[in-house]
Amino acid sequence: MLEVVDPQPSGKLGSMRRRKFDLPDAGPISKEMLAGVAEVVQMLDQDSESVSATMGTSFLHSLAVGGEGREASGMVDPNAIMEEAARLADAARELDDAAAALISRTWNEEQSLRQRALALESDLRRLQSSLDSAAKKKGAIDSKIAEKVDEELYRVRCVINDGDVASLLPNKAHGRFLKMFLGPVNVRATRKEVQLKVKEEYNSYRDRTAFLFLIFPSTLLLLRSWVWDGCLPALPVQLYQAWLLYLYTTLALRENILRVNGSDIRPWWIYHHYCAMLMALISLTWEIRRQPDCACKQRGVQLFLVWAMMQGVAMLLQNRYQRQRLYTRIALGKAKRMDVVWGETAGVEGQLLLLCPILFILQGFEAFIGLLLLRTAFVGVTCEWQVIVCGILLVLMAIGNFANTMQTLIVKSRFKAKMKRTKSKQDIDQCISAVDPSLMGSKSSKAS
Amino acid sequence: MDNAAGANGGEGLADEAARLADRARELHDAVATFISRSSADEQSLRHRALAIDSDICKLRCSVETSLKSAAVDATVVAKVDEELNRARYALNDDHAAFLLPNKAQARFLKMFLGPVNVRATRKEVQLKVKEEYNNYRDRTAILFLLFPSILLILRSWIWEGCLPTLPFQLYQAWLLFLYTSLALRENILRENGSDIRPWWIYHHYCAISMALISLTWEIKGQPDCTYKQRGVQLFLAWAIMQGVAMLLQNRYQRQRLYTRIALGKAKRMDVVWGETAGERGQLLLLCPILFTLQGFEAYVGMLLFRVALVDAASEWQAIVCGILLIVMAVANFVNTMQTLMEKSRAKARVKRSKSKRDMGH
Repeated sequence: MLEVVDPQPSGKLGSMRRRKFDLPDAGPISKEMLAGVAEVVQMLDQDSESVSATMGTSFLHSLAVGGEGREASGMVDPNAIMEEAARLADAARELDDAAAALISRTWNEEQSLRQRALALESDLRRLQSSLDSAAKKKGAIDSKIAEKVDEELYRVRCVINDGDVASLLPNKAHGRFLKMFLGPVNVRATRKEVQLKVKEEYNSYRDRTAFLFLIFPSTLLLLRSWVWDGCLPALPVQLYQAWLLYLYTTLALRENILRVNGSDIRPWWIYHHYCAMLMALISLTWEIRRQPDCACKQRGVQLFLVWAMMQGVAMLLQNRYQRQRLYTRIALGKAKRMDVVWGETAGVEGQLLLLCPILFILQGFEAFIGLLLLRTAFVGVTCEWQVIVCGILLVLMAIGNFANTMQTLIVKSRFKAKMKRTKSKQDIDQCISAVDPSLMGSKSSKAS
Repeated sequence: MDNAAGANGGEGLADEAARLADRARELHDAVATFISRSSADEQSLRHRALAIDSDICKLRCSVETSLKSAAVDATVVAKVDEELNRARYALNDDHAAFLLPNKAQARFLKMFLGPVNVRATRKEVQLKVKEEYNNYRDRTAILFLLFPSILLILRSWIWEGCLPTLPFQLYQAWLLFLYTSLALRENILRENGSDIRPWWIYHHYCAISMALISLTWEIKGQPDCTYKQRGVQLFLAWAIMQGVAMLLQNRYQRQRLYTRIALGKAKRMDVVWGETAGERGQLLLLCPILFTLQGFEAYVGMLLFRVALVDAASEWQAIVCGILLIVMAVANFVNTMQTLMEKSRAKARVKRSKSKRDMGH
C-alpha cells in the first residue's frame, strides 16, 4: 500500500533543507495529511501518461513527497525525469561557462593591477635613489623638502609592502625547500585575512606539539629509570626519532609557507629546523643496543633526550610570545591599520624581557650538551660517527640560535629608539594617514 | 636629478613623490574594490553551484529508488545517468570546480602543510602542475635506477660482496625524501582534480614506512656479512625493478596527459571518454610488464620473510619489510586489474554510444 514518507528526513538528505517548498516543519504527519496525499498520488498516477510534468522544483517536490509511495504503484514519468536531468546538465554547463568567464576576467584584472603595482615599485625605487643621491650632495636639496619627500615615499612603501597590494607582487622569498617537496605549486593566499589565519593555525599547531615535545622524552626517561633498568630499548627511541623527523619536516614546510605568505620569520629559525631534521635522521640510524655496556653507550641518548625536553620548554615560551605578537597584529589589522610593524613591539615588551634570559640559558645548555656528546664520542670506547655529527650539529644550532636571538633583540631595540625619536616630529601612524586620512584623528597612542 | 638645480630639483622631487603617493593610494583602493567584487561574484556563483549540486543529488536518489522498484526503464536510467554525469563533470571537474567546497581535504596534506589551499583555480595551471609532476617523475626514475645499480656494482667490485652501512643508509634517506615528496605532490594533484587512484598514494605511504624502517636496519659490515645482506641485496633488486616500472608508467602517463591537453584545447568536455583513445597500444605493452614486476615484488617479499624467519638473529625490520612488500605487490596487482577493467568498460560504452549515434538514434 501507499506509504507517506516524511518529506524532510533529518540528516541524510540534509541538502534538502535548502529547498523548503511549502512543506510543514519536520514532525509527525497527521492522518488527514496522509489520506490527502494518498488521494493526490492516486489521482496523479491515473493521469501520469498524459500529464506533462512541469519541470524544475515542482517536479522534484512531487518526487520528494511521493517517492516511495510511487514505487508500489509503479508509475513514474520517465519524460519528466529526462527533462529534469537535461535541465540540470544545461544549468551546470552554464555555470561552468560563467565560472570560466569569471576566472579569466579576474585573472586579467589581477594582471593589470599587478602591472600597476610593479610600475609603482620601480618608480619608488628610482625616486628613492635620486633622493639619496640628492641628499648626499650638500645644499642640493632643502632638508625640510627632503623630509617631506621621505615621508611620502614611506607611505608608498607602506602600501606596497603591507596589505593586499603586497599579495599581487611576486614574492622574493626563497621557496627552494617547498619546491623540492611540493613542486611549483602556489601556496600564497591572496587575501591578508587568509594569511593571518594561516599564521594563527600554525601557532595553534605549535601549541599542540609543544606539549608532546615535552611529554615524549620525559616518558622515555621515566620509563628508563623505572621499567627498563636504566637501559633504553632501541624501538621506542627510534619511534620517537621518527616522530621528531616528521614534526620538524612539517614545521619546516609550514614555516616556508608562512614566509611565502609574507611572514617575517627570520631564515635562521627555518635552518634550525633543517638541522633538527638532519639530527633526527641521523639518530634513526644510531645503534643503541641494549646489551652489553648499555649505560656508557646510552649516555649520548640520555643527553639527547634532555636536550629535547629543553627544546620543548623553549617552544612553549616562544609560542606564548608569538601568540601575543599575532593578536596585536590581528587587532591592528581589524582596525584597518597598516603599520603593523611598529605596533607589534608595543604589546610584547614585557614578555620579551622574560623570554630572553630563559632562551639564552637554554642555548647555553644546548651547546653544553653538544660538547658533552663530542667528548663522549672521542673519549668513549665506542666512537660512532652519529654521536660526533649530532654533537657538532647541536653546537652549531646553539651558536646560531644565540646569534639570532641577539640580532632580533638589537633590531627591536633599534625600532623602539627610532619610534621614540620620530614620535615628537611625526605621527606614529603614518601608514594609516597615508591610506585613509579620515583615520588620522582616531588613532590611539601606543605605549613606547 | 640635476644637482645644479638645487632647490628646484628638490621641489621637483617633492612633486613627483606626491604624485607617487596619490598613485599608491589609488592602487590600494582599486585592489580593495577588486578583491571585494571578485569575492562577491564568486559567492553568487557558489550559491548557484550548491543549488545545482543538491538538485543533482535529489534526482539521483529518486532515480535510484525508481530503479529499485523497476518503475522506469533501464535505458531511461542510463540516459539520465549520462546527463547527470555530464552535469557533474561540468560542476566538479571543469572550471566551476573551485566553487564547491572541498569535500575532504587530504589528511596527509593537512598533516604536513596545515590547512593551506593548494587548489589552482585556472585549468591551465592545473595542467601545468601535472606536467611538472611528470617531469619530476622522469628525473627521479633515472636516479631510481642508478642508485641501487651503483650500490650493487660497488658491492661486487670494491666492497667484496659486503655493503657498508653508510651508503645504504644514505640511499634509504634519499628514498624516504623521494617518496614523501611524491606523496605530497600526488595529494596536491588529487586536490587539483586529477583522477589518481587512491591506492597509488597509499603505495607511497607504504614505501615511506619501508624506507624509514630500513634506516634503522643494522647491516653491519662484518661478520657473517653475505648471509645478513641477502635481504639487502633482494631489496636493491626490487628497487631497480621499481625504477623500470616507474619509467614505463611515466611514458604512459605522459601520453595520457598530452591527449588530455589536446582535448582540453579543443574545449571538449567528454575528456573522460576520449582519454582511452590515444594509448591503447601502450596499455597492452605496459600491463604484462607491470604484472611481472608485481609478481617479482611479491617473490622478493616472501624471500625476505623467509630469510628473517629462518635466520637465528633475525631482525624485526626484515619481517616488516617483507610483509610490506607482499602487501604492496598484491594491492598493486589488484589495482592494475581494476584499472584495466574500468578502461575496457569505458571503451565498450564509448563504442556503444558511438554506434548508436552513427545509426542516427
